[in-house]
Amino acid sequence: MGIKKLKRKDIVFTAVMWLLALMMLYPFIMMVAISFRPSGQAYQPLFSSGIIHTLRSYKQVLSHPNFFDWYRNTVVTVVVTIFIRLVITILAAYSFSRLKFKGKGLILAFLVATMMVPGETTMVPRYLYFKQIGILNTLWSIVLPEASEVFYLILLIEFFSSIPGDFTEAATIDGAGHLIILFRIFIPLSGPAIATTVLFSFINIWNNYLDPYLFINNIETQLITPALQFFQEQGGANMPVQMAGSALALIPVIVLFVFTQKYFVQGVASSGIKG
Amino acid sequence: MKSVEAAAGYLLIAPFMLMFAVFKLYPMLYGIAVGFWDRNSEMKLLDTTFVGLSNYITVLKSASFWEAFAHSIVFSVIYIVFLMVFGFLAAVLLNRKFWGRTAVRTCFYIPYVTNMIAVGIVFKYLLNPVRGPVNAIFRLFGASGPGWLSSPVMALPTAAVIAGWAALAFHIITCLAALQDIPADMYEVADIEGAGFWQKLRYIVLPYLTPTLFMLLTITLINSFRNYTAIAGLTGGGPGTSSKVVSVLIYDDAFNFLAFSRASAEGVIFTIFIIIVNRLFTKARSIWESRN
Repeated sequence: MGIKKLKRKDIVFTAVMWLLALMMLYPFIMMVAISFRPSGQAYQPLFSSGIIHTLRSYKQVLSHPNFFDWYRNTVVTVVVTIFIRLVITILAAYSFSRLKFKGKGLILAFLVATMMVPGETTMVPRYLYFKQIGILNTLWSIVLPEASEVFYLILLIEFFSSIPGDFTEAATIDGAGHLIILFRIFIPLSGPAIATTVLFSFINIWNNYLDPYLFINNIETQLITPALQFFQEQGGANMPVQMAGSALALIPVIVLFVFTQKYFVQGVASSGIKG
Repeated sequence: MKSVEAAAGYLLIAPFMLMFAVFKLYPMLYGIAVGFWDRNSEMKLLDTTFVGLSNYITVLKSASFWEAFAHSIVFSVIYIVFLMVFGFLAAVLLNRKFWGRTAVRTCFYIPYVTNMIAVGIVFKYLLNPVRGPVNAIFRLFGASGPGWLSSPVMALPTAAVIAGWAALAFHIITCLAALQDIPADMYEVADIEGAGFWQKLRYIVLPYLTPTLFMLLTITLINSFRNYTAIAGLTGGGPGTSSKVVSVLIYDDAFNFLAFSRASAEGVIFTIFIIIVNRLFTKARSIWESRN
């Protein structure tokens, strides 16, 4: 009797959790469902009869003269930013975690303090300054400022600090230079931390809205997330076209996330360790 | 030997520090300077006439700034409370064993990797006061349902909750990691003592998670001011100015009214406010921790 009662409770709990999961995904389910409808049926209930399914909206989105520009720009920005970010951040993280030099603590404390300043409050000086140095309307206006993110520096410092000292001591006795130690020992051991950095960077840059919206004004240089506004303007109230555009903008990040969730969870959990 | 190590140390941080100084730090400081200049019309875009504190004073005297300021606070409070409460509760639920737990967790995390522009399009559809499916549920019960994003009263809270929904995964994952650290025998003892679910939550889980929750609160406090995309994607600051937060005000003043110096001053003042709030919070936290 007791066991049976417990089991029923478990079944109810499981059902409730699945229901909650469905509620979390409800907006995405609707996004996909509406994107396959003709615009006249956009507001009919999810399971109503007589719904026609069509690829018209996707055809319209994909045939936008700049759609592939936006996609290519986004991919290029993501790849180039991640590359520069990795190189400069790994070098700095190695130095901060392994080498002794004057002012190290102070520099780090200062860098961490700047994380408090949201990009929202500095959008005007950034715009004016980037205009002055001539990087507005180019992908550099996204790439260069994104390269040095303190968050990833801290993430890698934490990871590098956890690598046992004996490894490096042995190498130092051999007379290996810092770059050799870094490439032969630290980078091969840091797979998970680097994977986390790449994954987080990919998601954040892909979803970045404010910066490209501010700094890029010509339609063919725009990135995919801010470019979604063009479907709102062009399509007017054409809901399915907007939904199709949104779905195509979200698919790469969602797919990437589902397959690399482990690193994502690790990254969040480890970024939370210090506090 | 020591100086060689120090030289290597500086050399290796140099690329990062250089990029940081040129593209992050300089614009922050430049913003303070722009606030002291008179770039408040299209003609004066590159003007460097020093006008003292006049922009800062104009901002502090303007009703629209304080209105936006109040909206930012309301947004932050709702966002923070929503995330702290539901992030913690969701983590407690997702920590229990049940069939398909991994898949359910994935579903809870997915909103986190999406953006408010794409998601905003769906929410504007779902919450359409007349034709949207959410208010259709209200009509089933004979009620008319609120205007959500198109109501001056509801727009700001609705946007804050949706932004919270999208950020939930960070809280869940962090709390789940902390929940793993609670020794299993604590629960066993509680079971023997006959403690119920709520008692376990109050006397075992909460005390264990307090440091984690404080850390989350610190991060969420800072993140709650990064709200431009959420407001832009959901309400655009409207209807009227009912959900116009400081970030939207800064954008409007700079790029629609071309008052760059005033907008810069708004940014500087709000940044100072954020730093003060953070200091006060850190102080409160350390007092609280020394008492316990």
